[in-house]
Amino acid sequence: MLRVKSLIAVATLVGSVSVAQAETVTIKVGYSAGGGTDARARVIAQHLDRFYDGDIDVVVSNVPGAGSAKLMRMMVTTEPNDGSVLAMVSGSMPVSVALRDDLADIDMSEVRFVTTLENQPRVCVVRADLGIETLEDFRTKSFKMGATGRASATYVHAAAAKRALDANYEVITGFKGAAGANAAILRGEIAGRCAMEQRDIARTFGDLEMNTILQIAASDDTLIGGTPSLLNEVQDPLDKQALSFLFTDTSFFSPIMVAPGTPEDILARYRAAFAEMVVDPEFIEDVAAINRAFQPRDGSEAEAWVRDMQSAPSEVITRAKALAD
Amino acid sequence: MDLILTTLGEVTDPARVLVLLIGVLAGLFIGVVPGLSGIFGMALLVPFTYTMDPFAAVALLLGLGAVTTTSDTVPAVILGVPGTVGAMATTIDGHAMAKNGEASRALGAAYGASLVGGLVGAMALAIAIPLLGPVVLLMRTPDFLATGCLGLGAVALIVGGSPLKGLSAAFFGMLVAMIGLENASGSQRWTFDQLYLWDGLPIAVVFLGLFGLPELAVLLTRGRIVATESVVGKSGLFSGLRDVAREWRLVLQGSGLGALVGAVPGIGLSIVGWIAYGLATRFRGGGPDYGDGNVRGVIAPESAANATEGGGLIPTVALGLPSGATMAIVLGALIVQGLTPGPSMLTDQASVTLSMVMFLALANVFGTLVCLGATPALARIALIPASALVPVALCFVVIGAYQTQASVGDLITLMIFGAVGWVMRAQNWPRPAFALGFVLGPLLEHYTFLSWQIHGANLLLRPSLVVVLLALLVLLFVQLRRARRAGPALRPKSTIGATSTRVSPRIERITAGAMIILSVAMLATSATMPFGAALFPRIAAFGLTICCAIYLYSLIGKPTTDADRDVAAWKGMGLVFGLALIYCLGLYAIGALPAATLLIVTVMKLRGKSSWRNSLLTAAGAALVLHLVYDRLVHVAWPQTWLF
Repeated sequence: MLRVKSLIAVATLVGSVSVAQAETVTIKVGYSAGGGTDARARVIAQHLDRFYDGDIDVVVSNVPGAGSAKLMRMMVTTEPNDGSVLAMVSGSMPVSVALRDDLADIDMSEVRFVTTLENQPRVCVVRADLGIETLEDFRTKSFKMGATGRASATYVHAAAAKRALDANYEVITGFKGAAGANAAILRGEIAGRCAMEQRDIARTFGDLEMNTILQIAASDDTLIGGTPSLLNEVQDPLDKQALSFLFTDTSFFSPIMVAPGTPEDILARYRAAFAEMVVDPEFIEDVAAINRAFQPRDGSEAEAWVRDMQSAPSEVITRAKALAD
Repeated sequence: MDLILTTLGEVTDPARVLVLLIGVLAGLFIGVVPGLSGIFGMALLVPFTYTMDPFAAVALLLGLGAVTTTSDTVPAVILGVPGTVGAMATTIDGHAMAKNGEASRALGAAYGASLVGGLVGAMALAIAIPLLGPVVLLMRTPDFLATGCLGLGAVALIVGGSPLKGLSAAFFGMLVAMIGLENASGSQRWTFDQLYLWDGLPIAVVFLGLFGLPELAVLLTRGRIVATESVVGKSGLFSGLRDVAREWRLVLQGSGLGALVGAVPGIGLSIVGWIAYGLATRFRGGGPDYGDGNVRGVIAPESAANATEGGGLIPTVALGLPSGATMAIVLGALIVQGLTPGPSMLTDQASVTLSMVMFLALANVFGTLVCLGATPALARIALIPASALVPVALCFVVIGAYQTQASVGDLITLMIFGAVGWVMRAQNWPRPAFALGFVLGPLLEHYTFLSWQIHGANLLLRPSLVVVLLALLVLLFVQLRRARRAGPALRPKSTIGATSTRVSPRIERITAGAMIILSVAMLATSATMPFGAALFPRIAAFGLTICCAIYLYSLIGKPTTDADRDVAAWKGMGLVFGLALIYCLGLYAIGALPAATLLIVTVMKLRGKSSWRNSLLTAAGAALVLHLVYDRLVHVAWPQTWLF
């Protein structure tokens, strides 16, 4: 059986380079080949044609640059709006556009969202052998948390939690990817990190026991029971609003979008295709193979979220900037 | 013993051997095409492993990963254009050998060294997983910094008899590498509000420009790579293999180094070849000077590059800590298969671990056999007239650069660093030192800041760092003393990667002056950056200023000569850059394939006086390959054409 499977895979591999006649749809990924977003795109590319109302051949193209801001800018300026290009950018992009002056020229309300694939709270974890077991320990003890760049969720979550809770820990920035921070935790150089998914903890740290201290989410909808939520721990109303603003991306992760001006019927066909695809057993099996589980939301919800963000009061945005600094 | 026999049974399953072969062929193909990397190939193949069993999945991915560094030698030797960053060091002596009529020998030596390197890497994997796994966990960030500093030792070794020019080039490379967003703070460094520059200049494009375009310019001037037909026989191939046998100590040294460095996070392929090359240059070994076609300069980096795959698997498998992007993909694929990297890879899943060793070894053997079989044909490329070879290669170099980020920035970067590479080549500024500075700069900055944040001043007490820094100081002192003793007559010739032995002091003064102006300007503009983001750029700019100033001072009073006025070479350079520019414009005006067809036919007809039949057939063949690779395989996001 294994041999048969291998031969089928080989045949598929060889077949994949044959010339197709269908209309080509390109899923552009804002990161290099090989990362998590790229892996999601390649799974989607294998299945989408089965559900789209039309004869399409789906391929993946990588357009890395500036944490996917380059692709985001391409989508609102140069990419065709005939539905031939889908884009997968960072889930934090709408928040980044709202907070960063250098991205202010991007109008996120123009973009049409097909869907967002993930809707999970993120958590802050620390090594269990350090004796940090409660939120009070997390707030009062001195230790080091790891993060990648200052614009990343690993930093924004850790920094916002530190400021909102008036915690004593230090945030070490500059790790190359979350994997770099994970390795430093395993080596015992730092205590923990934020912006993890609960499901990834055991896989990432293996035999090393970790304590999940805090969860980060924009609302109560998706919270995991038993772990304090930063949003619920904060009393100041302005801080609450600012944190909710900062963490909205956890509810709309892995967005898939088309260019502004894409005809409604094409958008509707994509939304319908994704709605069907995400409940398809074969697709779910392949998604599980890359260790993901999608909790899709319709693109119209993401568009409403973007509109809400754009209408946020200026003091909320100012406070969000201060918390994430 | 049971385990070995069981695993051997799994590995030799015909379906899995077929999968391995497909991986090997894909890896060989990717290695040959400039601009494509093993990471790209793996990302492409990973989805196909989801339906495979663990052994077949490992066979496919390791088959590909193991041999890209074998075939990337082909363009490096034949054209002087590295197929991947792993072959950069090979271009220096490999291409020089091809020009000396020893393409077959260089390729034979490279394949032989690659094979041994790959096998040593596989053996290292077998032996080291149980031993080195815990050691990797004991390493701390300052130890990674120390390993990065080892790369600086390679700079000191390859600058040869012209330490000031070498150090200037290294500082220049380091300074250029600082362009982009600073990783920790997100501060912008010389990005000029261009998104393209946020992630820094892409290494593949910079090196295609630095090494690729200047070599094509030289090739166009020469007419063809070699003049005589006697160089493409099998005797050269066997001669290269004999070189490998004779230099067995060097092969083992490079292989061991590759396996060791491959296991260290973030160091990897782009540096290990240079370190191995630098170590090799300590002895000439009876051949010509390094840079003039010394076979040791091919053997050392090739043996090291192929051993990195085995080395990289050690922390990936033993601890689940990928040492680089390629290993991160392998790790992801292992997890998909239900395997858990860590201690269980030596117990419950020991058979899969052992199969990795066997597949790595088999892949290297298959890859080498395929390459050896193809060498006589490949070596004949050296006989193709430049009027046909250059436009074809130029299209691949330009598209290889463009596919990196699918941006006009890729093309501008290619042209700028092509010009920089040409000036450095023409004036004996060692490009390898620039390349090392470019690769090492961000790495050293990254590990220095991380080490400082985590360990504070205790960082300086870490034994590994202390030992490496002291060794570097001694090495630099020895090199400077050797250069002074050698005297000025020897200095230019002993600069590795240099080509001309006579350069006019007037031109040298202009170049050194321009470098000083550039570095002072960058130093001044760094004033607006936060301290942390500005520190390393300032160190690099300051170093560049000082080295160039001392060099400029040493040129005072030297009479001007006409040595630099190599009119034919400058014409060749102008023509290649003109063609590259025309092709870039054609890419946007009418599209990549029509522009390539037109360019190749025009150059072959006008410059080579080729027949219409040959010109059209060559152009059609090149366009077909470009289409299959970049349209069908890579799915490059082409620009909207201006005309149609």
